[in-house]
Amino acid sequence: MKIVLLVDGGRPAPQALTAYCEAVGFRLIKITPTEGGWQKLLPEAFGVMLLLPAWGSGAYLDSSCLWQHFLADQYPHLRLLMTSYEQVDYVNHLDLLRLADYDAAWWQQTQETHITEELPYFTGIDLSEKLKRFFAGHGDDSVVAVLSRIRLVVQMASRELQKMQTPYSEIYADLVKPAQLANKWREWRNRWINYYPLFEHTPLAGKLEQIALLTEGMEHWMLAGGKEQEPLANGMILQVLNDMREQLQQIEKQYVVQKLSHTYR
Amino acid sequence: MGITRTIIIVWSWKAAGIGEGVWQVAGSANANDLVVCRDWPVSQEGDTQNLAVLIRQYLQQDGEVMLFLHRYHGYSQEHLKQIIQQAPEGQQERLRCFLFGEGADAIYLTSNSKGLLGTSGTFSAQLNRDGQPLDVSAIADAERRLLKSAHFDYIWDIYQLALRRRIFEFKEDLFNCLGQYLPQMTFEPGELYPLLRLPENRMLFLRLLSFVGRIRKGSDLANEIRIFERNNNRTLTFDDCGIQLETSYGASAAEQYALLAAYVLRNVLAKGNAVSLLELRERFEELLEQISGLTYHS
Amino acid sequence: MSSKNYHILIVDDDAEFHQQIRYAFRRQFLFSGAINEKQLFEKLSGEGHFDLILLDLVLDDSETKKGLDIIPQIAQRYPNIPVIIVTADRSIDTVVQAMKQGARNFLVKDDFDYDYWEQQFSAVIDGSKLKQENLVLRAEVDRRRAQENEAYPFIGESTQIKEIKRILKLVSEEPDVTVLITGETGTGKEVAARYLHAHGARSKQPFQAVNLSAIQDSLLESTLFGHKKGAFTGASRDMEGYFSQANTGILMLDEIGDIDQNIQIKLLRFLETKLIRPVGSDQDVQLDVQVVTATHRNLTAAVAESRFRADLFQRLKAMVIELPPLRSRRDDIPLLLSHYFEVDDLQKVLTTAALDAMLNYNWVGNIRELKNTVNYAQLRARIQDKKRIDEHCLPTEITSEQPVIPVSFTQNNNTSGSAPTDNAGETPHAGPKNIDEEHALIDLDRIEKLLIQKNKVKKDVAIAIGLENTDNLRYRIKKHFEKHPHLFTNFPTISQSYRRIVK
Repeated sequence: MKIVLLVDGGRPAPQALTAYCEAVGFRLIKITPTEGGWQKLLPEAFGVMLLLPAWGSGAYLDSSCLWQHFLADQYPHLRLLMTSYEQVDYVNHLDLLRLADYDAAWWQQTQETHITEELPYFTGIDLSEKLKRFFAGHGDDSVVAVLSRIRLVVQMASRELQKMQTPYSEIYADLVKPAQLANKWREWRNRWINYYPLFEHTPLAGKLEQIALLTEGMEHWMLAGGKEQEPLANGMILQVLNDMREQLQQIEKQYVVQKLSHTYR
Repeated sequence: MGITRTIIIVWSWKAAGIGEGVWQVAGSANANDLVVCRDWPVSQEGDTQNLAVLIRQYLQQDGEVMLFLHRYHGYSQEHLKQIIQQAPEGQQERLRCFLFGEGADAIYLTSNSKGLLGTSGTFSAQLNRDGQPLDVSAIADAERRLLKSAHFDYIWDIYQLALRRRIFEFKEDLFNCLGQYLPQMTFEPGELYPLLRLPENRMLFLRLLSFVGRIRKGSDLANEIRIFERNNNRTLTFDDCGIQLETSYGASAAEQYALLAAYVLRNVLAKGNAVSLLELRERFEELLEQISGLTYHS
Repeated sequence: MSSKNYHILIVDDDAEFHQQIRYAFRRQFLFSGAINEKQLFEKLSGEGHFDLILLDLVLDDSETKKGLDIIPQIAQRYPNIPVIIVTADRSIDTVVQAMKQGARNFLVKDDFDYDYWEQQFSAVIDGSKLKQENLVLRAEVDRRRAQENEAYPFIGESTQIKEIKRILKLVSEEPDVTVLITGETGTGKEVAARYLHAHGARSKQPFQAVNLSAIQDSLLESTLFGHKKGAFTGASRDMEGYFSQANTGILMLDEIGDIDQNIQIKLLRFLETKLIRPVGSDQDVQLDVQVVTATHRNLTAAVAESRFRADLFQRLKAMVIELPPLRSRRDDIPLLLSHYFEVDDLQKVLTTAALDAMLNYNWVGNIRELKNTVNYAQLRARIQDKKRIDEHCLPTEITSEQPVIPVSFTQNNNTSGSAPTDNAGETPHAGPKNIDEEHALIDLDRIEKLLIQKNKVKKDVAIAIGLENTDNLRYRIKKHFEKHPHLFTNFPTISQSYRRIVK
């Protein structure tokens, strides 16, 4: 029996869906993108099925564009299937209120992700647009903008400390303290917390989880306003910030830099 | 230059705030975006003539107006309807009216960091974040009476979309529940009602009642929803949904609402008729089609 | 200048960013700050010199990229201050727009890297300084070139020309001395006279130059000294002559060797008394004019032949400046070519073959011929749609003809009139009686050949020789015929082309 990976998008998937899939020869396996391991199932899978729109952060979300992008890039021969309570005219869409209409033949005519078919419109916040704002240089939505301001200070301070041998008391007084790192960190956390749960049902959830873990590692130092010399002196803080930046850059490169939006609205 | 967008806010500007006046929006794509502040309680006669004149002024030359009336200034849904009717014919569709109060609406900075209204008749507020004070403000330049375009745009979009979004989310939440009984597509008369009364479906049931106008203001049920709203940071109540739809989207929207509400009352909440999921979805979709605009502001 | 002395203006609405940049680069640069457009221009107009502006694109809460509009304003008002965009926005469109507006570089705040930023600051400043220095140098060169172009294009860096310039400057300090400038046609005698004028006490006063050989003998006196109304048929009103026009300044009399005895006397009188008498007048007029004369003729020989007054010659040769022919100062040919082509690098306008041909050519017509050749070649290149002038654009005599006049001859062609020693046999017609005749022989031979080459188109011949027009060519032939009619039997083409002269 072929397997189909179900991303329920934080919604209760009808039992009838599982039963229906089994009846037409597909085993539905629910995956949680925030947890590891689901990607190992992809090579053997027939496709990924999204229950749309997803629910998260108090709003309905359209994650289809990010999934399409991910699969077309990594597993182009998989199908991105979509199911919803909406009436959507799309070759890979399954209407939950008309399951009986989709026989085994329907599954065979669904398209693989490498076929660049226009994605249908699902009511919900377009997460590809949200991700663009996440990486935008300016604006209240920009998460990277705040992080880069923190990193700027930490990089300058690290250089002064390690390369110029400037006493940390001086660096702290002249650079770190006026930068109000604790406030900046809170601002970053607030923006981050507003953002990253939006993506918990998307393929980049795992990477964002890793970043969330990284942030925890330096939370204490940041909230203390960077008073402690040691984490800076041993390079830990800058390393973590650089790691975070690298992860974010990978996401940006994979999902934002290339064309990322619905071609059909 | 785009269309003229005006947000008129009737609030406590004079008592403790910055006073009445007109604020412009810094760097807005629409050069004529304005926020007009007035502190006008409902007159003893209960008429809204002064507001009608003010609104007419900003509706001229294809302008769009969003009116926010503070509940504690004595305004109610009836006033909204009156104001809409006073707007010149053909211009009503460019006027949206809302009631707000209790610091719980999205227009407040305390409930939405991109809001407009701060504390005590101002555009600024101090929030508490992780035990630390955090100053938030919609003001770009106080001296020049300029507001931030990001705040203006966000509030404009949020309120433009508010009702459509609330109805759409209600529909999806309802089908989350009904979908559990699939493949059953039809519920016999009286079959669905007890399912909706199950404790896990409590809030959905109350929203159904609110949607069809069966919850009285100030009642226990209304309070129960309010508490849930605050705990979940969602607006779920439908205050006079039919009037809201009529004043914001016209008679055909109100008509579709009436059809859906009747179906819910007769088939879902009463025991006399069967419920068809396909028909229920159809009625929701026809209503949503009458409510123009996007559901979400990305 | 060390980088510490470089003054950088940070323009960013984020005051913290100012402080951080100041701190990080405090050892390398001096900083000032502005948080908005108003402050930026206040600082630029009031705080002295800045070497670099670091400009954020977003300068207020409106999130509009106001910086993009500011860049051209800075470029227009402070073109020497380079701008680096320091932005949080890495979108390609923004960067391209900023660079188009005139920003030198952009740095993304998110990509902050100390070493890279420091290197960029320095590179942009240094690049700008170099550019400014180049501009200053260029401006100076342009200024000098313009000065020479417009007024005194006395071009030459050869030893001879340097020495002549030195002498002219010395002579220019004597505002009353009469100067005689000799040299072949086209060697720049008027240019030398103007150089004298420009560097002398009379530099602010008039300079008048007159080619005496171009004026009909009958009109020469009134042209030089003026006339009164009714002095002769056609003298309908009083008219000032060149002497009066040059009063307080310098009058250059070119081809002084060609004037008749009557004018010679009047000129001598002026040189002795500073008085002239206009034709038809009964009164003398006192003038203060420094006279510079010039001739390509051998005045000594003319005196010997009684064609030129000895007393006048004595007066004129108080100071003799002899201009060398171009072929004897070949080092100056590239400079002259650069000047007339208006380029620093001749390779840009000339192929190697064309340049070699021009460098090796004898330039019998000297600088005038060279100048005309440049004009001719440029025209030919345009006609032939060639980006660079090649040998096919040059007059054929330049590419095909061997040197006509041996250097040994030209070196002896001076005012003393000493005869050539060993080159008579190399000229086309051996056995000239004297240098003047030999010169005429050479000249006529060249004209004869050119007439054949140019299909008897006199205009082309005149241009090739370096004459301004066909009248001058006609006049030249006429003069040769008057003095050496016997030579014309050897030049059938000239004789045929100028039948009215050669009778």
